[in-house]
Amino acid sequence: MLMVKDLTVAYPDGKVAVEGVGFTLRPGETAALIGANGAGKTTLFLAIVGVLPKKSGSVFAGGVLLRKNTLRALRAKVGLVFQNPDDQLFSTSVYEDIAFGPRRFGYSAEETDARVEEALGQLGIGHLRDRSPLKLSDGEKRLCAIAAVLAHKPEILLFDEPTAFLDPRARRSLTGVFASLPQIKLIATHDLAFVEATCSRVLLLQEGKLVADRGMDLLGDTAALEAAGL
Amino acid sequence: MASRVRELRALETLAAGRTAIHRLHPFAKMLTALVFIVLTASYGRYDFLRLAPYLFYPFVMMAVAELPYKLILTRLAAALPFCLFAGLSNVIFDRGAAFAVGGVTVSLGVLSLATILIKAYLCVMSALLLVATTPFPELMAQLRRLRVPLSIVLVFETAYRYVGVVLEEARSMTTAYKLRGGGKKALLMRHMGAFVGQLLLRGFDRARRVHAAMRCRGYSLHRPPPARHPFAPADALFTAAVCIPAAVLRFVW
Repeated sequence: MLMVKDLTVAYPDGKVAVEGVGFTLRPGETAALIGANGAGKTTLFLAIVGVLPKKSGSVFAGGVLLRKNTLRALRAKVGLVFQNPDDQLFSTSVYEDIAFGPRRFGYSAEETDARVEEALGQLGIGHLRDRSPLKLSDGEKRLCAIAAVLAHKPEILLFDEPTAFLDPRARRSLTGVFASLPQIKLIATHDLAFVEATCSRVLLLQEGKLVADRGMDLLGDTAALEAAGL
Repeated sequence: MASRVRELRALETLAAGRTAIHRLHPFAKMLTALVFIVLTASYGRYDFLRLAPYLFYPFVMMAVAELPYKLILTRLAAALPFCLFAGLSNVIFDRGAAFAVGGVTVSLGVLSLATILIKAYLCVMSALLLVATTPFPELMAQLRRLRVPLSIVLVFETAYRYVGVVLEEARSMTTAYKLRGGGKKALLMRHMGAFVGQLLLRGFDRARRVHAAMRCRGYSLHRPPPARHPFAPADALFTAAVCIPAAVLRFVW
């Protein structure tokens, strides 16, 4: 379960980026986090995994309460797939990149190898195993970035603009991948068609505040979407 | 600039190989390189003939590790000119006669220059072989396991990642500049300040995102990942097979 309660995040200059956000996602649930550019989607994600410090509120993910001394345990439970795969893929081969997480979380060589192979197989990218991440297409990079996060078997997946840079074919392929992932998924995106294809719930963020938390009918509420700058 | 990025990536790609040398424990390769460098550097200034047997070691290693000679030798060539200039002063100041060949006297300074070049070749090759057969993160993790001060490891890690990040940003900015540069191939001096400032800001921003992605996947400076496998008999055998003959050559032969 992912439980975010009254979460407020402020930048060092004092500007509040996320204010009093609260929601709960239950096992198997897939929700979309939508909002205009600068609404605070990425900031919220970074605060959930403890990369950005929270000003107040709490995050409870996979049985771990976000605190300074639980960061490692929490990051093992929550996987964040960044908007730009180039920020996430920095190793010499796809294998090495996917193995980065399991190694850092202290798994043995055999367990790491097994987890990498499983992640590659799950996303159908075994053929990319020894390729350099730099030489992949955007769609392939995206799948590698997801595999890199899946390898340490998080219970919750946060996706930041997963369809950015993708052509329609890669986007369709990603829709299938999302349907096959059993984890709790929270997807920050502007791609409303992708939301329709993958999610069952929509959270609408406006200027750092959660202004709506509804079913898919929210996508048809033009007034609410326009008011939020979409 | 693009070629510098390619060279960095090329060494990284080589390090990801899967030969027997690549599979060795990083400590075995690190210790071997260190011993080799110390032994060869400890020879006297005119001992270039005694260094000759060591010349084969880099080539044997390159063959076993399936490293491309051209790339490694190109990297080596970049370091040698500095040693050449350092050694030239010996040719000028150390004019004592060493021996004569066919009536031509070879000075001690020439012997000294040859020794410096051979030592430089052996030391640089040893370091290049280490880097080209061991992924950088494994090297850094090994340094941390050896209790090398964290601040030193952090400088290495940051510089290594940051150089690549800055070069990539510089490449994309240069491309954008050229496309709107009205046919000018080079960066104009009056744009240099803004260009470099932007480059630093963008590089910093990108480095921060990469660092965040690493932290999300368990990276912590204070907690090195365990080695891929423990130090095995094969690692000890390799270390002994290189270090013992090298030491015998140095102290017995």
